[in-house]
Amino acid sequence: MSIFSLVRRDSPISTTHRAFLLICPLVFVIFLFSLSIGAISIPAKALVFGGLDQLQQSVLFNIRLPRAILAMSVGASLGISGAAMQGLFRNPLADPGLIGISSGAALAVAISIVLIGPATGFLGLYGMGFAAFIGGTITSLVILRLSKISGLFSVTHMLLAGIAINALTFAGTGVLTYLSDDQQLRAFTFWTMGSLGGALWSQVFVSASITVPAIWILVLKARQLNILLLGEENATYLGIDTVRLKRTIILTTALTVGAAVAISGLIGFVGLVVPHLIRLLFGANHQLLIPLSALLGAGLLLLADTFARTIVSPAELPVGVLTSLIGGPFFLWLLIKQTSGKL
Amino acid sequence: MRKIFILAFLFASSNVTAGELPNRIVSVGGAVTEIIYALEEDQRLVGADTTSYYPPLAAKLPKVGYQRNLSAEGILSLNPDLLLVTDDAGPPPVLVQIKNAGLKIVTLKSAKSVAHVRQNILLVGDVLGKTDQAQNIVTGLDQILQKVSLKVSKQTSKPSILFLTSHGTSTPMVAGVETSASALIDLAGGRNVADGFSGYKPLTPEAAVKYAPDIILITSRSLKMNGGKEGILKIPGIGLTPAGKAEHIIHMDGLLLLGFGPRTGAAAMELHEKMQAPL
Amino acid sequence: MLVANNISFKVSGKTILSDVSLSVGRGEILSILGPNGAGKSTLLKCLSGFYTLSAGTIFLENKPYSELSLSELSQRRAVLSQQVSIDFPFTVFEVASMGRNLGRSDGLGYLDKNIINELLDLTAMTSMKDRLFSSLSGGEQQRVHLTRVLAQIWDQEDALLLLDEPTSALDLKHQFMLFEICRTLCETKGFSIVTVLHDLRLAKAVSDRTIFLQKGRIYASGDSAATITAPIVSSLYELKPEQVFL
Repeated sequence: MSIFSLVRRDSPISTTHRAFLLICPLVFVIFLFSLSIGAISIPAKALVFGGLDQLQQSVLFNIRLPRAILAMSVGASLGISGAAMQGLFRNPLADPGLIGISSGAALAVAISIVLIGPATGFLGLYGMGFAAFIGGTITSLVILRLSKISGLFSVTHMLLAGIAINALTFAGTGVLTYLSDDQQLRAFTFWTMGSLGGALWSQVFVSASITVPAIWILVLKARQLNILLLGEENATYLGIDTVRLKRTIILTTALTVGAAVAISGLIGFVGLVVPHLIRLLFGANHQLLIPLSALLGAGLLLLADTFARTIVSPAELPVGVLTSLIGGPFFLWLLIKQTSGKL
Repeated sequence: MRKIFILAFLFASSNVTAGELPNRIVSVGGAVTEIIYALEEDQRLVGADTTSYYPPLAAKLPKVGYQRNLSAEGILSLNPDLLLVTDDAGPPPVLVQIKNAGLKIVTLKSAKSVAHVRQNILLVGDVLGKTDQAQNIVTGLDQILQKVSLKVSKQTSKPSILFLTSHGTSTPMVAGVETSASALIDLAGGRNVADGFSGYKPLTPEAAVKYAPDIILITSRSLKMNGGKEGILKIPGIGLTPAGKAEHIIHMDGLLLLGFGPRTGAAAMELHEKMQAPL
Repeated sequence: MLVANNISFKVSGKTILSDVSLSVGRGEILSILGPNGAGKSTLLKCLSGFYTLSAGTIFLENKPYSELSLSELSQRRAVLSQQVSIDFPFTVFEVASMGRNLGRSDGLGYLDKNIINELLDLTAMTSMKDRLFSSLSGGEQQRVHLTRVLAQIWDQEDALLLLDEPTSALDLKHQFMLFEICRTLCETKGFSIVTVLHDLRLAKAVSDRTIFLQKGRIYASGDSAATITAPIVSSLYELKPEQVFL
């Protein structure tokens, strides 16, 4: 049995086994790679079998490990929120960034930075996360309403609503930059670009305490999300309370997106690219799609962040810039593919 | 795994350099680096940020990035035993990471007055075990400043000055009060015309006309990025000011002008002489 | 056994259905016919419990809809709605298995899988069960949905099956296959079936009773053979008698 039988759709191995056999080792390898690479060299061999000197240990436990876990937690939350939003909107182009949920959350965080100041402590982080959650929920609800103007979810309405909301929040943050002083402005720009550079264990804890339950909730709702793709009417016939389901999905994604945005700023396109790759390889079943999007999202963001902090070393590239650089063209390709009716 | 974690935290909280003089220093901030060179202790430097480019030797030190966008690993990879920074250094979480990794950090004032400069020089002297030398540098600084203030007292009038920073594409910013530019203008016997606000504000063409400065002061870098004098005169509103009409534009090296390091006296002298020099 | 008493349905002040009463007995197939815009699909959505009535009551086994929860209802009635497209790469088997929801969040049980495989056989979709749903033709997609809908109530007795233009995408062979299945369900499991149809001759052939709708009201109803007649059809559809072939 070759490695290719893990990728092939008609493989004799069951899709579930195939998927986890492929993705789990991949994420693990990325994790080891990320921990070992950087300005201070930490050999992967020493990581696994021990034998690190004091400096290496210190760098590993204070800088790289929290950063790697934070990248994975944020990546996982972006991955699942993308998958859940696409299920909810019944559209593979829905992405929390594109449709404005992230920027709504970002505006709320910006407001809280200007009003209260940047935060690193637990309370501050949860506070910022909560602000982002409120911002994200409000925008999700607005988009859900707007995209249903014609009675059906339409891509055009959804993307247009996204453009409008992005423009609105952009203007809002613009106003804020004029209201804020140098210090706030600096905290703010650093944060908007999307970086994981300031990873501390407190952030890891806050992020994971939201991501892990969110994955669990969405996995529990996975079958219902599948059925929701038949449309609300058919889902109702199958005994699903669609109003409640939609509310759960929106609140969960707004919470995960909010936590991700509050901690690491705007990191775009992970939510779009990851679920799409999973669907391409393993189909659309949410029972697989949700956990696999969490895993692959974790792996991909970790990989992107590893590059972000090493390619212009000792300085760093904001990881958000890197993901957009890759995700932007990917989105255009998806758009062309979908409009030409081949998706 | 848990054992390793506990070990790591124990290690992080222990103070590696207690009681010993630092021998491997990473210096962040042009003025901080200058102080170390002035103390002739540069052999202890193992790295500096990109704003540390004076004396020219400092530019050759291994670089750890821009002072506001430091990366923890870049600094730790130089295996330092002391990190010297100013209030400007950041982002804050990165400094927390570095502290957690067990590196000692000494934070200096982001100097905006002579008092700050004295304080910083003495503090660095203390940290490096060079208290006497630091005192000598402060004395020398005070002597030059005395000469400047003697000259200033002989002035018939205080020229009005507008300090601009502009990178060519975006709106130029004006230095108000409580900035190092404003402080140096005062020392050199000038008057900062933008005294209605603190910090930096964008310049509007009408405000430029209203300020009506006799002299435009900019950093050499701003001058270069704007394409020389002509470029500065093309900034909307500048051409209509007395300074613009007389094409009276003074430029000085940014670190010398704004750094508030050990060269502050020399900087005040240079600015004073440039102000007084006939066009 | 489904009974609807004097039901009316309004949307933003506009009356779509008014004062419709009907009943479908155990083992009976009722067809709903009528011109475009007569309210056939709306009536079906009311009978399915999806729309909230403006007036009147619907009883399933003597219990009013208002007393049945969504999941109770989902175990007693299934609805094949008009064409549903899915933009995501689900396999035929996955779409069919969505019918076995039954309020659970975990995977399919052994019995569920057996039911789905049995039904895929019945709708002649077994050979395509691992194909992507989106790659199928309209008729094939409709058969997958039929499989899904049947799976929902397959292990029930006396259930209600509602079909909204189920034959629109099916070829002749599969139209007959569909109603053969329906008839068997009525006879073996006591299902009651209501179907919206366009093809009058098909309706006459497969349904026991018929309701003609006109502008939201019942125009005629009764035994299919006695109701689907040239005079009624020609006056309802505004056709000359010689244009009607039954």
